[in-house]
Amino acid sequence: MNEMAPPRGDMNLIGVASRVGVALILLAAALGKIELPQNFAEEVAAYRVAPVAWVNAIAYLLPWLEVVLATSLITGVWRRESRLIVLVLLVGFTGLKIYSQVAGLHISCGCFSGTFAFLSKIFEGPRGIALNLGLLALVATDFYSDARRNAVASRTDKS
Amino acid sequence: MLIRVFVILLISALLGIGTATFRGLPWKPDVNAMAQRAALGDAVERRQKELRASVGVNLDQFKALIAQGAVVIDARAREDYEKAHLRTDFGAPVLNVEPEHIGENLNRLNELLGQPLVLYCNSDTCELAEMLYIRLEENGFSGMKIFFPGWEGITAAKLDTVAGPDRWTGSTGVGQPPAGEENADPSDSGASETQTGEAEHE
Repeated sequence: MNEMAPPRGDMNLIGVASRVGVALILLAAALGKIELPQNFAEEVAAYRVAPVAWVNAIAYLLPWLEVVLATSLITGVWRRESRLIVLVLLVGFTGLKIYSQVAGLHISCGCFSGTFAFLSKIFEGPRGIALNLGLLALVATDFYSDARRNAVASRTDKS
Repeated sequence: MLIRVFVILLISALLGIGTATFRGLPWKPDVNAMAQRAALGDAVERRQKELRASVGVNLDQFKALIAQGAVVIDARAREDYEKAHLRTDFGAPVLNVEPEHIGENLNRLNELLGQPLVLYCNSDTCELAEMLYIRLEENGFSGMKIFFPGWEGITAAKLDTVAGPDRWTGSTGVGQPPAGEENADPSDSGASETQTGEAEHE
C-alpha cells in the first residue's frame, strides 16, 4: 500500500462526507423545484438550449431524479450507478453555466427555487461554476475512496 | 450497471409523471407565451444596460415611491405572488401582472395610466420586471421604475408581505390609503387576506 495515502478508515469517512454533502445539495435543489415546477420550467427555458416543448417535462422529471440520486447516495443502494448519473448531471450543469456565462445570459441559474431560492445566488456566475467544480471534486473523491476500499478488500480476500 | 441506471431513471420519471398528474400540471408548455417571453428576453438583452442604469431604484427610493402613492406591480408568476407578495403600508394594491399576460390585464392597467408605477420580480437576475417594463412601454405607459433586488430584496429588508391572489379590478386604493386600512397591523392574523381585499373595498 502507498504509505503516503491516508488510512483506509479516513478515506471511508472522507467518502461518506463527500457523498452526503453532494446528496444534501441535490435534495435542496430538488425540493424547491418540486414545490414550484413552473418557475423551474421558465428557468430551463431561459437557457434556450432545450426545445420549448420539453421544458415542462424536464421541470417535472429532473427534480425527482435528483431526489432519487440523493436518496441512493445516502442509503448506499445502487450508489455506483447513482454516482455515475450525478457525475453526468454535474458535468452537464457546469457546461450550461459556462455557456450562460460565455453567452452573457443574465438569467437565474435554475439551481434552487422555492424554500431554497436563497441558495441560487451562491450558485450563480463564476462562483457557481467554481462550486459546481467543487461538487464534481466531491463526487470524484467518493469514487476514489470507493475504489481504494474495493482494492484493499480484494487484496485482503486474496491473502 | 446499465440496467440499474435505467431503473433509476425510470423510477424518477414515474415519480415526476405521478406528481405532475396528481397536481394537474400541463405537460405541454404554453408555447406561445414562452415564445413571447423569448422575444421579450431578446428585447431585454438589448436594453438591459440602459434600463439598469436609468430606471432602477434602491430600497429607500422604492419605499419613498410607495409612500408617495406609486402602484407596485409584481411581475412574478401567479403562484409565487399568491404564496406571498409585498404589502404596502396603506394597503394600496400590489398588482400581479406577468409580462406575457399583459393583454388580459390592460383594462385595469389602463386605469393606472399616468400613475407612478414600480415593478419588481424575483431577484436581481430575474428579467420579468424588465420584460413587463417593455410591454407596458409598448402599451403607452411611461416613467415606470424597477426595484431590481425584487422579492429577495423585499424579504431581506423585512418589508411587510402578505399571501393571496390579486383581485384588484379598479383604481380603489391607488395613491391614497383606503378607509380603515391606515392602521392595518401586518401581524394581524387576517393579514393574509386583507391585501387582496382591495377589490372588496370597491
